[in-house]
Amino acid sequence: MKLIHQLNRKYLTYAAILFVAVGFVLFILLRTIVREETDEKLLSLLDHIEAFDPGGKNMLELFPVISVKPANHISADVFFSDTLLQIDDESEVFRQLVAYRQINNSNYKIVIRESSVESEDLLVSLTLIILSSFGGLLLLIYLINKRISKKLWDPFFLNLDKLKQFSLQSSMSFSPEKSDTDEFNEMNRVLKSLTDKVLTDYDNLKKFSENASHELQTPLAVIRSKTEALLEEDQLSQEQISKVESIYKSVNRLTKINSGLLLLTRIENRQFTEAEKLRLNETIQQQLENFSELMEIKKLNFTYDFQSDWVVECNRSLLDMLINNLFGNAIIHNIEGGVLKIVLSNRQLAFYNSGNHPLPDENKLFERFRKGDRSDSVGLGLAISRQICTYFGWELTYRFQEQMHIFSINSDN
Amino acid sequence: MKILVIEDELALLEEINQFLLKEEYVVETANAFDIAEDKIAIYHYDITIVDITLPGGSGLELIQNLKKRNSDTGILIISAKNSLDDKLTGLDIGADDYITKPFHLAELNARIKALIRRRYFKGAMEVSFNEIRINSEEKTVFVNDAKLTLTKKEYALIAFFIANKNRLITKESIAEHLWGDHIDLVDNFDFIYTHINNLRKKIEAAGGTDYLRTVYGMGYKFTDR
Repeated sequence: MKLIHQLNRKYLTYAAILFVAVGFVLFILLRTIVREETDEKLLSLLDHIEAFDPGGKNMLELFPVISVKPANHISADVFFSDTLLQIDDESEVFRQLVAYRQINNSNYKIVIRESSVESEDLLVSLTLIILSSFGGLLLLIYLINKRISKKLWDPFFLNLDKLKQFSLQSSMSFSPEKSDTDEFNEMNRVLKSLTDKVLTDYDNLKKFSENASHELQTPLAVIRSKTEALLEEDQLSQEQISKVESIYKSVNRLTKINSGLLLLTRIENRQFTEAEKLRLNETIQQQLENFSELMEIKKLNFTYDFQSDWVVECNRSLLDMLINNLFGNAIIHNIEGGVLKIVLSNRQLAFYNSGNHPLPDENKLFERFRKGDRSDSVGLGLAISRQICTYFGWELTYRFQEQMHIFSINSDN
Repeated sequence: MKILVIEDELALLEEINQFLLKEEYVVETANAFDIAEDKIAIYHYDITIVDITLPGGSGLELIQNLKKRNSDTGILIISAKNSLDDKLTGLDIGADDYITKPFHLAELNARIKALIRRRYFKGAMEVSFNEIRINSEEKTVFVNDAKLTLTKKEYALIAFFIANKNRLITKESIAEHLWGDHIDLVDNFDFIYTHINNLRKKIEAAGGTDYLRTVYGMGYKFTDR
């Protein structure tokens, strides 16, 4: 739930509870006040009656308001109570005062009543007026609050959107908008220093991988040349030769892994900036020349379905490498006498090759060090191909259809 | 032929030195910028092999020096950085070829020979090995004056073999020579085997001797010894 909604919800809940409580207390308070007023009025009326000489008449009856009757005893106390009286077939609540007093040496029971209806009405109206203004105020505060928080939180959401767009690959630093809220500015400051640090760290890491790979090239060259020289020696025993041989194979493998990783890092580091206008048809034709002998050796049935040319603006060596990888794979992973088909149209290029089973784990196909059925592969070819496609803004996908492996490159723009 | 090898990694320098001596070149070495600078200033070399990253300066600067002094020197760059920038700059300022570490010695050898041919024999040098004769300009091969019909890869193979005659040529270096650095293709030696078989058959069919020896499953040796 959004913070604003949470705040509003809490505010409304407490306001409702407060509203009911205040209403209740207010009602009780008002009722007590009104009752005290009524009682005081009755008492003052009693004073008047006591000062009034009944004048020999023993009784005064003014139903239902006043009733003075002779009594046997007197008392200093007054008794208040609520009573229900029947007037014109309707029962009405009255506040009643009962006193036993001596006036001109006669004892009287004095009962004075006042209808509660009016005061109840007053009480209700008063409560309603107060409560409605209170409720109105709460509502107004709620609306104002909502408006203010929206305005206050605006810079927060703006920066949140910016943060969402932050990506290590784009290496654009996160630059938050300034707001008037200190807390937000503080958070932005922390976020900025954090993202800047992440960027530098990532950058350093990339540089480190590249430098490390570069630094490895020379020792690899030493091992390779020394091993090659060793292999040429005549005095080695068969056992020694087989040891040197396995060193040689390993160093070659290491070399390939290293140069593959170096290439991936350099693509990631966006070091292939030179771009030129290239026709994919041309690139394919060049590679075709390179691969035609291999296809003959494997007795492949090759077709090139050239629908329309695809002109791209990109780095030549990367494009060559991409086509080379996919074309080469379609030959190596083909079956003897299988089919190899290339389909080129604008913004789409697909390599089809015969196969018996779909490749397992399509999702992991493009991961680094993913090896197919051949254990001698270093498993970087497809990772590099995908990296190149990503670099160009293309999509490389795999599917298996009608006994064919299909790798296709698509571009939206 | 006099060759200067400029490389700061002593172990590698020594190996290149030994290798080139076997090829009967006159070899001089330099393992730092200033040593190389002095040697360039005093002597004349037919071929100079330059590492770009050197202690004390850049190999690119040395190339510029070299070009100023004697422009006919053939220059081959060896670099740990497979970066196009370096390659283009190097070739721009007058280097003839560029090879990336780690390289196969056989590949370096083939490049040097190609460079010598281009520089000093204007490409039109014929290389022969007993009854086999290669014209590198027309990319044709003759066996006892009978022209062989070879595919591109077969031609590249025989040229590579003859450039590295009497030496062990590993399958890895052949694969790299034929297909560059296609990362997954290089290890696939079935193709090499087929190419070599076809080449053998063609040479034998033309009446030539099969000089190709298979060496312990490691590679091949093109030799008449």
